[in-house]
Amino acid sequence: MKPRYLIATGLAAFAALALFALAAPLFGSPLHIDSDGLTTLGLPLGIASRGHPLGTDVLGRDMLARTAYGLRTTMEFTLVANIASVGTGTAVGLAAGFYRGRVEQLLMRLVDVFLSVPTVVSGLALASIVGRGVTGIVVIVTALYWAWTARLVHGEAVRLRNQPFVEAALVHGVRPRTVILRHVLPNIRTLLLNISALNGAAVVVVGSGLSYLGAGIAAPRPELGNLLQDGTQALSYDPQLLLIPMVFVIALVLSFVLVGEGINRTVPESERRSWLNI
Amino acid sequence: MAEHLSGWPTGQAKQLAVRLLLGCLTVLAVLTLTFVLQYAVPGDVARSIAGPRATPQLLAQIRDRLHLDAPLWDQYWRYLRGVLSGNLGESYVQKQPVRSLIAARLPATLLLGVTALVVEIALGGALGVWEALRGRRSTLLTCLNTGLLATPTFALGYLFLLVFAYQLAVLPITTGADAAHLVMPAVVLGLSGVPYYSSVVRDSMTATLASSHVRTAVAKGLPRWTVIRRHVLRCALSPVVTMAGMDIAVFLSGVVFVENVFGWPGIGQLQDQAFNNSDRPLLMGTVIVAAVLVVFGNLLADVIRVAVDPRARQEASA
Repeated sequence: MKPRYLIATGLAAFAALALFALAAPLFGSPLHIDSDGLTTLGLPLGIASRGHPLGTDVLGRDMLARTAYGLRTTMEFTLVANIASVGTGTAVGLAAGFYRGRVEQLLMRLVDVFLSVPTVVSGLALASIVGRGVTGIVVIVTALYWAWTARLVHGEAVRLRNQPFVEAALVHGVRPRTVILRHVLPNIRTLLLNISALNGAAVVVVGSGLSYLGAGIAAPRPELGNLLQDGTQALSYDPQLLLIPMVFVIALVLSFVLVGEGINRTVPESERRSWLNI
Repeated sequence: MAEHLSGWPTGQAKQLAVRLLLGCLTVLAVLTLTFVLQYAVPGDVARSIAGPRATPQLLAQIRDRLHLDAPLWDQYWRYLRGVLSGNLGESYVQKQPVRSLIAARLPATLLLGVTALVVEIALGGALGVWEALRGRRSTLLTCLNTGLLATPTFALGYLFLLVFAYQLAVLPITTGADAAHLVMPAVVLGLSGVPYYSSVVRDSMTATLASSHVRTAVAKGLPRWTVIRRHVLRCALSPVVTMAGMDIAVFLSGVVFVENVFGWPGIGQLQDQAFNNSDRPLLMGTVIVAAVLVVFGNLLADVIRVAVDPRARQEASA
């Protein structure tokens, strides 16, 4: 598959999901319990029921509205946390790459520390302190993921700082800050886009995962992860309650993964050929 | 081990020592972070242990027992000394030492992790080798990898549960700790790592296939599979070892979900419980154990890589 098709597919999927999330108020309230929201046996309505295209949940609330609002919450924290973590990581990585010596050592050791704590484990520990909600998720994800960006950006900054055009600028007395803004940032644009795509995928997984565990977005507010958790109750008799949020989580992560993979492949592969098939 | 070390070039031993030291510093930093998170946050620790309806006497008693009235530096020192001597504190809820709670759960998680690692390396390795030998990208493998990358562990877990336990009923739906109960969690955890392994193996194999020693091997007329086995696979192994070392961090995150979905009684489940009970000592204890495992797993991977790969030995002594 050509890279540009991968990127286009990913962006189109993301746009479709964003539209659906933005249109959430059109589908009614996610918390309203409909009087005919359950069958006469007290079971949730199935997919394609009258008035409820995606059926209802175990309490008789409309799944379409819940999913749309859930997706909205997920996308909200994903965008904010993605920008915050990639931004922090880029700043640290560039600073470490250009202010050498003690600063670099200190910052990169700190990065090592953050890279050596497993994300979900420390996410749970952090969640017990920062509390639940969108702000909590953003803080947790930023704390856990900035270091990945920092390491990648640092590697690229080290490569670039030895390039003649950067050295020339520095020798001419241009301030490091200006060099970074004018000569380095434009050169790591592709890398940053790639990181944001992959980081975005990770943010969705960790954020909705923590909500699934009860450590992220708390109950009255729908979120794809906690919808999935609710759906597990009905696993044996109404699996669609589990599958609907699952499809949306996967679609959202997939849109990020496709963009990331597409950008990955625009980087020209080496011209090396296998000696086996000559 | 010591004999091995003395046989190595000094640059090697030195680099190892530096890494060991850095690993210890990392653990120390994690300890500091967990201390700050536990003690320096707003909120009364004694009250969070005893609950909202505790009497002042009880609160005073707890403060006295845990030295909560001592200066922060004193508490920090006490905490460090405690952790370094193996004392991770006592669980608020289960009223048992955190160390023994974790030690009781560790074997189950290790078993799960090792089985998942085997699944991951076997499947990811085979797919990577296949794609590298094929010479160009396979659409099927791309779809598989992208699909696996896009499916969070808990989602994949429930899909397995729905298909294999409910629809086909070939695997147990109940929770337990025997071989039959190990299959699904291990396969799900392993599958989530397959995309990374297959692409690392593919890239490393592709690079090796293009190198000059493979050209020589082909030129002197060795059979195709001998070249692959003796000259390509061995060369391509080294990044896999590094990757497996880094996997410990990934697995320790993954087991929280996998153990939650399948009810496998390991550390992940313990963490989940600790979080739901607001049991901070237990939660921080698991963070510390996890960080130690990750740091020393990475070190072990380095040692193994140096042992199996002569190039890594040269790299380090240069």
